[in-house]
Amino acid sequence: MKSHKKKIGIEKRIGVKYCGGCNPTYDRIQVIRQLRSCFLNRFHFVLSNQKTLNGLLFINGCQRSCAVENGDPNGPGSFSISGENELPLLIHWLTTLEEKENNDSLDSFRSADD
Amino acid sequence: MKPITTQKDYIQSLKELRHVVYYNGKRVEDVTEHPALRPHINAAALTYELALRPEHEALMTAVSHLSGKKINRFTHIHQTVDDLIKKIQMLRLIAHETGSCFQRCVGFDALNAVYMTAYDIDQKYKTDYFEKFKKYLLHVQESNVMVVGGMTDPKGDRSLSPSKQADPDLFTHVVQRRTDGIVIRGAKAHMTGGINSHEILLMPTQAMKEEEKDYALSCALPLNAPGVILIFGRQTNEERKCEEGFDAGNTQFGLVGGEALIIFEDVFVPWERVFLCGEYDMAGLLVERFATLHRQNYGGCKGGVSDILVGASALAAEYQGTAGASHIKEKLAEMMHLAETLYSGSVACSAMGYKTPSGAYYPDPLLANTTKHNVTRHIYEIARLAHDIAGGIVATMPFHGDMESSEVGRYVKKYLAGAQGVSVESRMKILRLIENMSGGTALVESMHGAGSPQTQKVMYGRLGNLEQKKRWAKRLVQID
Repeated sequence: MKSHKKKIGIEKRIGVKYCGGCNPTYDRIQVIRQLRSCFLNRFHFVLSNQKTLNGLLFINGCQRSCAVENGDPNGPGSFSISGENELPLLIHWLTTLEEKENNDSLDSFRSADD
Repeated sequence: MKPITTQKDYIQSLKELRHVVYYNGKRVEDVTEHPALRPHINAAALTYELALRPEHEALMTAVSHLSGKKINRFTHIHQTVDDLIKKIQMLRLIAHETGSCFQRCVGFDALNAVYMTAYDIDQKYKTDYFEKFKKYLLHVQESNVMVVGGMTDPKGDRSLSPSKQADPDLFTHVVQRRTDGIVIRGAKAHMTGGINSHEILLMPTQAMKEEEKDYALSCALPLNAPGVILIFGRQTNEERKCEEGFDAGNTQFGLVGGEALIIFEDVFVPWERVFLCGEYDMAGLLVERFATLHRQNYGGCKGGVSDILVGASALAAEYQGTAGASHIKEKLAEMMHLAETLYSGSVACSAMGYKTPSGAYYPDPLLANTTKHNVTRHIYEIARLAHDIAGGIVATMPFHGDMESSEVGRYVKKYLAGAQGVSVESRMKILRLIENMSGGTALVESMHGAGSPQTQKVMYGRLGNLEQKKRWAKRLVQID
């Protein structure tokens, strides 16, 4: 039961996949900095090739969206950003993802209790 | 040799190279410590460093078709049209970081040109150049060495062919064939990144005739081989690189590539590093392929460098209070139009690229030539507009030392003040950057790098499909 409790509220891991950045319309790295500051100790942003990810984030420098070439931006648990103006949507996605993950953990904790 | 991965590895490898480099008549013991050479080294070093950053990995790296391993894209053989396009995107990306030439594309293009041509030579002559070249390529991919592509010979009297020159060494040639290899003599001029490359991949400078078999030569050799001497080319405002302060304009990365005259004084090359030797009728094809692959680049790197110049010009206008003027906005728009036109050409010739018999992909040669031809014009126009926006102060501004002076610094700060809230230092830095990027060596490089405009015009005659154009015109007005 103890281990289930630990899952609630722990740092989630988001895999980040970038486009190459040939001519970006915004600072893609700054997006990650902003997210780190916004979700301090709640999300850990790692390379997309790592295991046990809670979500996948595609960061594109422009609408060409090259980062998604080898992935599915519409797949479950993934989000693609192609402009700075999409940052609020991205934050909303992470917030929702966090709530969902926490609820799932809570459900699992409850089932374990049952 | 330990594979070069990081910027630090690269710098260390140059320290250990111990090649013979001369700067202003003096031997340079360690190129990495020389203030005039270091900016060019810094620019090339970024081709290593950016490949390690996740945010640039998609462009800066590729998968080797030989080993299946992840490699630096500068050592890759284009396997698809997408590879050709990614090359251009990569060049624009790096130019945004350096604001100057980062040199490594020359070797990249040489590797691709020799790869596809060695295959064709073997098909015709049943030689074994292709297999030898693949082994060499694997070495380059695994060690990640920087290779300078060596094409341009000094050429002496341009009205005479190589074999008719008063001095036969004005074109690089074979002077001795041995059982274990060849001995070469001659020189290659304008070698971008020469002083900070590890190896050179030589190609002939032009098509050759039967009596010029010894000049039909392609081979690779380390730049620290006995008999190789490098002499650095003096650039505009060369001494400023040796000063403290910001007067050099781009203090970190310098100005264009840092070119060298590379001399081969009876240099031995083993047979396993020889990829063309005497098959004179294939020299022209190799030259054309290298030229096309190199001309393909220019809208990428010059497009990226122009982005910096546009940004600097816009800042200069802001700093001196002219940004709101309609003519300034119009000029900035024109600069952007020209830069994007260059980039469009590079993307277009890449998108229209095709597979060669070797399997390697090759850009459309007519469009690649057109792109480079545009560079010989548009970069001058972009620079002209930058000068127009920045004003005469670009040419008359006092030294950085004057600004720092305890005696006259206060006058410089008082009389070079611009828009309110902008420091004089910021204004001076931007103006020096514009000066660095828009005059002298920077312009000449756009004119002659990857071939002078006439070499591109020659290609219109060959590839421009003029007879078909005449037929279309005749058909339209019903002329038989």
